[in-house]
Amino acid sequence: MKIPTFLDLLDHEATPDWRTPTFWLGSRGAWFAPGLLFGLTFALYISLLLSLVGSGLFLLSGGETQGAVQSAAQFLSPRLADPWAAGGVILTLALYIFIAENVLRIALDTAAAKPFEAKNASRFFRAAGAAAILSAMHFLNVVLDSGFGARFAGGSASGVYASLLLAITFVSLASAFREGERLRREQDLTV
Amino acid sequence: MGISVKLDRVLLDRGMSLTELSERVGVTIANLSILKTGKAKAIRFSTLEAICKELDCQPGDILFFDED
Repeated sequence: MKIPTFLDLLDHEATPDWRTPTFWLGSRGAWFAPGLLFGLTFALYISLLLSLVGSGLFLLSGGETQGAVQSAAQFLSPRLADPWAAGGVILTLALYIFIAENVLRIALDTAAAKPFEAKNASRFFRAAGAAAILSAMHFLNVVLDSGFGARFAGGSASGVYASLLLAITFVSLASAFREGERLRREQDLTV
Repeated sequence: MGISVKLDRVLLDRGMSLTELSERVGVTIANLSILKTGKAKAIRFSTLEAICKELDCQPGDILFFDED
């Protein structure tokens, strides 16, 4: 018996409706693993983004900070005082927002039952590029911090791996969506 | 090169417009236009059957294999 690949499941006629549990948790389960991997990694990034934004707002408003927000504020406050570090923080935030924007646009298309639009593969590729830049920034920070004690925007070895993993996930999804788009176009030209 | 469609010629012979054929076979004009202009990647047997029935012809009258 031939085991279907991820790309086989992109065939519209073979794939169950994405809104049904069968699609996500069906016996073939091919969507489950990449879906879970992508979901967990992205959730990590969203929570980090929210904590950064939240702590930034607390700092700007002069409010008291506690717990996770306080630690994020402690991370941000010395960096916002240094123009170079502040630039790094802004660039990092911009990259997170860029990734989030692209993924949310794809999610909107998917919610409208049109996941294989031509632009979605490009969006995943762009998000992968941003994640790769984030990974490089984390790596640069690890090197600068450990070698010279200088900090740019904060970074860690786990950040390097997480961003790299996110970039790889995005590239895989981009390839799958490109194939899906090709199949959809072919199906559109079947009369 | 490959399979070419001669739907326009058959339509001309029968004196039928694309709109009329579309109404008779229940296929949209957009899809018939894709077929007529040779942009179609595939054709369903059901579509071919309906076209042949309405135009009173054989599949070979509509589809040609062109080696060049």
